[in-house]
Amino acid sequence: VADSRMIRNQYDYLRRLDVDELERLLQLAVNPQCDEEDSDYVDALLEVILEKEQEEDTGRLSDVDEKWQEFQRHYNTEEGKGQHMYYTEETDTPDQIQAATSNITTFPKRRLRRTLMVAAIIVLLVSMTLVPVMRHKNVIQLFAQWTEEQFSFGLENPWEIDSLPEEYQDMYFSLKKCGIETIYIPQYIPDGFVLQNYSLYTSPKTGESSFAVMYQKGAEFIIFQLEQNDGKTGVIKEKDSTIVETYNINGIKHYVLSNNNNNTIAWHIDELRYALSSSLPISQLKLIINSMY
Amino acid sequence: LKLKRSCAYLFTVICLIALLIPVTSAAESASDQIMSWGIDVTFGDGTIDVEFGITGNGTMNKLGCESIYVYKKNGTEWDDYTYRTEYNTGMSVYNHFTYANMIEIPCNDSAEYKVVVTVFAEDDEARDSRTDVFYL
Repeated sequence: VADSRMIRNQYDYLRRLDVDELERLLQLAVNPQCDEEDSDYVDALLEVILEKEQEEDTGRLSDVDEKWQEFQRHYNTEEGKGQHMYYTEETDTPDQIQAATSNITTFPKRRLRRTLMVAAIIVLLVSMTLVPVMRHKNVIQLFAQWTEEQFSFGLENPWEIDSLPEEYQDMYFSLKKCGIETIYIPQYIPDGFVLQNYSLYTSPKTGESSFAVMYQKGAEFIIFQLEQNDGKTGVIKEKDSTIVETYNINGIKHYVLSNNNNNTIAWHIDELRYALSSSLPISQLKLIINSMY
Repeated sequence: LKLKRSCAYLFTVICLIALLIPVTSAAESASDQIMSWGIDVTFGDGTIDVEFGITGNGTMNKLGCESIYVYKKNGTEWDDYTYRTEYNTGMSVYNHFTYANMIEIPCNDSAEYKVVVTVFAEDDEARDSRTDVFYL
């Protein structure tokens, strides 16, 4: 009793505050870590608010009769008999209490979760800053290499092969100098298409070659490209917003790109990157690629 | 507490969405003229070496490198240093479907440079181009 009186005196100053201020203090005081002293403070706050509300009803407190009726209607029902709304030490076994309270978030868990969230946000923000630094157009390009508008291999892959017509000979000998003797070339070109032009460029800087050959039939074209690449300088393939599809031939993943009215299938084998582009439909390009293996 | 948590979730979602938005606001689109392209700029022996390649969607009226603008660092500013256009030797070709070349631009190795390179392809319908910026 003496303690309770002392506490009352300690928080007497609260009576001079109005209900709004008391509510604000109450919001600040509600803390999951609160110790006994905080709990006395919260009790005192609640007590003063209750007193003030009884003196002058502002409608903040619920109507007791109404709430009692609500309880009778919703909770004190036949199926609820023998059960209780809250776990108590008197009515529940220690196991039940343990099981029920294990789901309650404790402060250390909350702090861990908050720390993880802050760490995740920091990682995301750092990733965002890395995007322009690494000359990617967005974060996805950090991992994959195509966007809605463009496609490019990030790093090089596997390869092999045989045979070659005249237009491929310069390219073959250029690659042979680099120790590459096996390449894949189209064995089938659709009827009516004739060789239009071809080009071999060897970088004076890196010594790497890039080769392109074009076959034409009226306004239709087929371009086959083959290039060495160290993976540092990527060749970008233009593409529209159509989703990149992939399919496997010979265990090699081929990427199908659409660029407005034209199509490209790109793939790579070891340090060689291949691309077949055309105004023809994808099905025709697949036939040409099938002939290469 | 609920409000704080909601704000944290909202902030996280905004961050995730922001990651998916391209950093370069002016995203390039597919092209009727350009099929593929690539540019690389490095220091050579007393030169800035600009290597480019471009392939058109079929034979183009003209294609190659439209321009190379080189800026030299002066304090915090970039001063005009030199430039090349598509009319300079080795920059572009007519009536071809592909073109690649390396252009050497004399420079002073000890300086810092910004190089803006644009490649292009042009047919009867239109000209399309792509630009990349390099810092050396």
